[in-house]
Amino acid sequence: MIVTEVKKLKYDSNCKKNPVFITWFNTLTGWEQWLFDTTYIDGLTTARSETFEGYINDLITANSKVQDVKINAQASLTVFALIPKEDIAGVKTLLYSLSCKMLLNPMTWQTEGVKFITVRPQPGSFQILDQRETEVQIEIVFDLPYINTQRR
Amino acid sequence: MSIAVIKTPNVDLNGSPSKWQAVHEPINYTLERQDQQVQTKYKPNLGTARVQLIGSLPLEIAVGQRFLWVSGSLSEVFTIIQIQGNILITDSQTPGTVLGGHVVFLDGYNNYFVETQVLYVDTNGYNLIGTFKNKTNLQGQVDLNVSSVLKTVCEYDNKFDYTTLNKAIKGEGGKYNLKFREIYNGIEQPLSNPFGAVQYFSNSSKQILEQYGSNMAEYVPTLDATRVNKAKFLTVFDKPTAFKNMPFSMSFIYSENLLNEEIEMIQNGYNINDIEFWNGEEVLDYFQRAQVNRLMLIDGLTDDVKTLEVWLQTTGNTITTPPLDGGNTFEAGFAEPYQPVDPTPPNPTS
Repeated sequence: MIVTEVKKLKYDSNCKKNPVFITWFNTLTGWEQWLFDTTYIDGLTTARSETFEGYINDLITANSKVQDVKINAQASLTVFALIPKEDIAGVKTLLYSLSCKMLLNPMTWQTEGVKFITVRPQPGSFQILDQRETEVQIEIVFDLPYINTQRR
Repeated sequence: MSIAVIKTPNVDLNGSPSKWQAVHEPINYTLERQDQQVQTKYKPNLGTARVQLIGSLPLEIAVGQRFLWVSGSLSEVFTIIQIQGNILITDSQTPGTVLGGHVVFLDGYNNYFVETQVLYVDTNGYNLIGTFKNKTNLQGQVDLNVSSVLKTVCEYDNKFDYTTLNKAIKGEGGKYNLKFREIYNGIEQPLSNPFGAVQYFSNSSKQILEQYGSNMAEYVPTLDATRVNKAKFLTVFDKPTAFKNMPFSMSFIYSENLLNEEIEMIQNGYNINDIEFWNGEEVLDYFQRAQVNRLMLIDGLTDDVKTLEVWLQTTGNTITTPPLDGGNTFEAGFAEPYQPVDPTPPNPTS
C-alpha cells in the first residue's frame, strides 16, 4: 500500500561553474537544498566599532590622535543563479529560513563527511525582474560568520 | 474529583488519527474539571430542581454554596438550599429530567487550580520539560496551549550526516505527553497518569487558512488504501532538485500509524524522453519511526536520469517493534479522567 504522495524530483547532473551549495531549514521542518553556480562575489564590509583619543605628552614624538578600539569585519558572499521559474517559489523560502548552511567541502564531503557553516541571507525584498523567461536570474547576498579581530 | 481532556488538537483522517502538531502554532487542549459525576438532574412537580450525585457528598459542600451542573451542551449554576444524602436541592425552577453529567463545586474548594506537566518522551521514557498552572473559567474549563514548552526542545542545526537512507534528527520533531494534578485548599493532589497515547510535534509553522490548522495531518501517513490525498513530503518545492555529487535529503513524517509495518522507498528514474529506465527500492530503518525523518535518494543514479519519482509504501511484512516511549506507554483513551486518591472521607452525616 502506498502511504505517501508520489513525489516527482529533478536530477541535475550538469557540470557547475563556481558551485555554492546551500541547504536551509524550511517552515515545514524539512531541509531544502540548492546549488548556486555561474559566478559569485566575495564581499567584505568593515566598520569602526569604537575609537579613543590618547593623551599626547610630546607633540614631537606623537604619531596619532584617534585610534581604533575594534574594527568589525563582516564577510559576505553574493551568489547569482539562473533558476527555473517553477523552482523560484521554493528557492525564495531560504530568505526567511532560521537556519541556512553552506557546504564547505563540496568536493570531499562524501569521504570526510559534510562540513557546514551558517550563512545568513541579507534581509530585503526579493524581486523577479522578468516573468516571461523560463529561467529567472536572481542574486542573493549571504552574510558569512564575522571575522574575529583584535580588541584593544 | 478529576480532570478530563475534552478537546485535543488531533485530527481524524478517515478513521486514522493525526497526532502531529506544528510546534510554532498554538497546540491547544481543553481540560475540564469534573468534581463529581451526576446520576440525574430532575425537578419534582412540587419543589425545585434537584441533582442526585454518584457517590457520597464531600465534607466541604454545604448549604448556600453554588455549583455548576454540566451535561452535554446543557449547563446551569445552582445554589444549594438543602442537602439530602447525595441529593442537592437547589433554588432553580428549571424543569426537566437529564441523566448523567457532572458538577463543579464553585465555592466548596478554595484556591482551585490545575497543574499540567509537559513531558518530552524519548527512549528513556518521560522527561519533564515544563509546567503550567491554570485557574478554570466559569465553565470549569482550562484552555491550554503547550507549544511554548515544546519549542524549547527544538533544534535548528543540520546534524544529518547524509550516510543513511532515513534518519530521525533530534530537535526536528518529537513526542510528548501530559500529566495533571488538581490543587485546592492548599493541598496538591497526586499526579495523574499520562492522559492518553503519546502525542507528537514537528518543528514547523503553518499558514492561515490551511485546512487542518496547526495539525500536520496532510503530511502524516496512514494505512488507508482509500485515502485520496496521500501524505506529502515536507518540502516546499513542487519538484525538488537533487544535484549530482551533492548532499540531498527530503524530510517526511514517519508516523506512528505505520507501526509494525515494514516500509520501503521506491525510486524510479526517467530519461530525457520521460521513459522509465532506472528502478530502485530499499527498506527503511524502522527504528526511526514515529519521528520526523530525513530521507536520502538511493545510490547509483546515472547521468541519463533527468527526473525521478519517489514514494513510500508498505512491503507487506510485519515487524515487531519496541514501544514508542521506552516501555512507559499508556495507551488508554485520551479522554479518560484520572482518579487520584481523594483524601476527603465521605460525609457520614449526609
